[in-house]
Amino acid sequence: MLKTLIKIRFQSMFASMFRSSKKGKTVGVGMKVLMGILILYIVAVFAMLFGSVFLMIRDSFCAMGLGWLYFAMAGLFAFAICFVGSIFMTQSQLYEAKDNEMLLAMPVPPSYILLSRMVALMLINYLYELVIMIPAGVIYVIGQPVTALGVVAYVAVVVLLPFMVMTVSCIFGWLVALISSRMRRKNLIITVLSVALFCGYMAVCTQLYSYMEMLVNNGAQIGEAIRKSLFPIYHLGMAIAGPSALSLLFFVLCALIPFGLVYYLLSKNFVSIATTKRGTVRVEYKAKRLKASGAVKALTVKELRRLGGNAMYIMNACSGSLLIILAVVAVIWQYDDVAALIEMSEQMGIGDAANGVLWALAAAIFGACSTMNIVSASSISLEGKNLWILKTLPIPAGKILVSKILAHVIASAPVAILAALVCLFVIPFSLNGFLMALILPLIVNVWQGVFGVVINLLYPRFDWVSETACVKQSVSVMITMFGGMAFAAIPILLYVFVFKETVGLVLYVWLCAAVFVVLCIALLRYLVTAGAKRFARL
Amino acid sequence: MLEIRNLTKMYGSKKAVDHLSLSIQPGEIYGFIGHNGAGKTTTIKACCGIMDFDEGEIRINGMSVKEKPLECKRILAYIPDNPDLYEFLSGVKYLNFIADVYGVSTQVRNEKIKEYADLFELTKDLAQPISAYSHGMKQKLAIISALLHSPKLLVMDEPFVGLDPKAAHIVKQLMRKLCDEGGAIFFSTHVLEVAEKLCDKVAIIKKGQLIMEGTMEEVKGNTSLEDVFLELEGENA
Repeated sequence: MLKTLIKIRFQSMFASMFRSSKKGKTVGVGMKVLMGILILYIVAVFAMLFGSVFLMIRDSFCAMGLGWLYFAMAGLFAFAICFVGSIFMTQSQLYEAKDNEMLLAMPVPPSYILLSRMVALMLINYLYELVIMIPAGVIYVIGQPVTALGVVAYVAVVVLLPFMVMTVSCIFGWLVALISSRMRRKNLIITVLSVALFCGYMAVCTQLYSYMEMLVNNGAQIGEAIRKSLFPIYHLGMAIAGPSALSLLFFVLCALIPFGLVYYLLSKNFVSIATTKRGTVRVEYKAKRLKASGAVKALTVKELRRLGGNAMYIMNACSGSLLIILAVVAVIWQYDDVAALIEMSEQMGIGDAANGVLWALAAAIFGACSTMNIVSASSISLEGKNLWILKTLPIPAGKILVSKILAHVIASAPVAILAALVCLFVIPFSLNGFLMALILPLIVNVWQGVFGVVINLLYPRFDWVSETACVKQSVSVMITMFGGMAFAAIPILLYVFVFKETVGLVLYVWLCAAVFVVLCIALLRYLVTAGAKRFARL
Repeated sequence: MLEIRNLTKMYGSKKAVDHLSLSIQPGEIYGFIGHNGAGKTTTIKACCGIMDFDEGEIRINGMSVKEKPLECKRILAYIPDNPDLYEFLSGVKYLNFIADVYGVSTQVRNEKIKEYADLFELTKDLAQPISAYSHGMKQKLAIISALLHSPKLLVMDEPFVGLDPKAAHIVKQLMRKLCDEGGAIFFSTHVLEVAEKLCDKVAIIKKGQLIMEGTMEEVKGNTSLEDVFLELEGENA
């Protein structure tokens, strides 16, 4: 029975990645290969990033006799990336899955349902964890002596660390659900908390190298602090680098006992947890005059309400805007450095040219970040069982699709505009530069909106069990996400390797904007003609 | 009001609806009866323009569903068998959204929402998110949203499922009122007693084919609709 449940869970996960339409057609082999290559690319980028960090700290830590801190840091990174990557899935899969009631009505022990969901989540955690732990292990083996016990401990840590993550995710998800059930504006609060978590995480990532330097310089004190306050992590490091059988035993107990306890408590209370309706703080309706608006506006507002009501959707679909906010905050924070740079360029007599380059860079950065916004990429799939509503409405399909693009632009463009306005206070004014920083990100946001809708129209998926799977794992989201990266990378690479000597940066940015406009017009034409017909057939 | 001519819909090699023809006049409540998988929902969805069909013609108020889908959708309303609505919206926001899309004036939407929400005792819950609604409440909300733009043709798939007896009674009254005002209703049901009491005409479908159609008196004669249905099911088994 448990095997069947786990099998179904995995089928559901892979189906959400590789099946595209409501008719259940799988995506082609070519597309699977392409997705595989792109996923490998992302894994390789992260592995190289963390690999370089580990290379930086390995010798210093080992020279100080703090080899354990090397693996403790690897464990902490892996824990953080697993937690941030899976927290929303944990909440939706464990507590809010749509098939909970159906399964509970069957003669299946709740503990089996819970375990099957946990196993699926653990698999995702293992994938996240390996991106960090493999480079950590490889870098260590290359430069440091290894013992058999150390290898055993390393394998045990890799196997058991996701248990720790699972324990914390389960408690965190449960606490969020419990607290939010007593709040009226729960979505807003969860969104703000999630954004804060994401910003904190990104801030740490962007400052990774300086933190590493700090770690190297203050290894002894930091090691002491970790040993005292995060003792399971200390024993994780000691188990591998010591190597210490006692530390290994302690870590195993730290990973398994809390997990066992949480699993026991959740399985005992799974029925009430899974069937209690949350977030239903009763609000009595007080009649007030309703205002009328146009159909497209109504559809767009509906899309925005769906986005605004789902913290997980915002976090995954608006990460580009969140990065722009971080970039702007960083610029304001480091204002003195930027001002000094500008002053220096003016003293060197290249002020105007330098300012133009700064505006072009700002435009390029905001534009590149905007390619990470993928609000529209799941907007058709998210209609799910509600698709009948749109199909019975007396509105042309083209307008429905355009409303989804508008929602994407409204959700992502204000941040880009705000960023350009902030640049006015940092970079000396230049009309050309300001317009560039304002218009290029706007065009890129429109492009991403159009591109996302087109891809989702080609690869829709309506039979999702939880919105999380639809927003995070579906084919259309992955293609749009990787496509966005390509649209950011290709112009940059073309400039660096082809046009750098022949075309000025400012002109190049405007040319890129023009290319995106042409692409937008071409895809919009497709959407309102063939795309509309395709939507009608869904 | 609704004219179906030789409607045929294939799912792969299987004929879900096989040359079905029927006609519904203004003022008529038309019941559509058949076993599970007989082709009722397919026919209904084809009438609403949400499912393409392979052969035949469907006309609403003289307009082809294929040629003028938007014009047809403006004068009809559809209530599905399972009221899957936007759960992230509150009841009143959903109704306002539907009113916006159909271009219902501010005054009319305010009056109608109040009238129908009071009638279905849903007013107090309109500020609640739809995700907090029970199945019956969602069904009531779907019915209210369908009536907001005063449709000439109401197409319903199993409209009484999930409704409490009082709400079901109100729906029957509203159905009769809509038809008395010149509208028409085409609905499927498995509750033969309801069909017998409510419908002016009835059609029985089996394996996609129309096997009997006419006024209630013509179809059931001196027996009950249930007897006729069971007899026809047995004959064609």
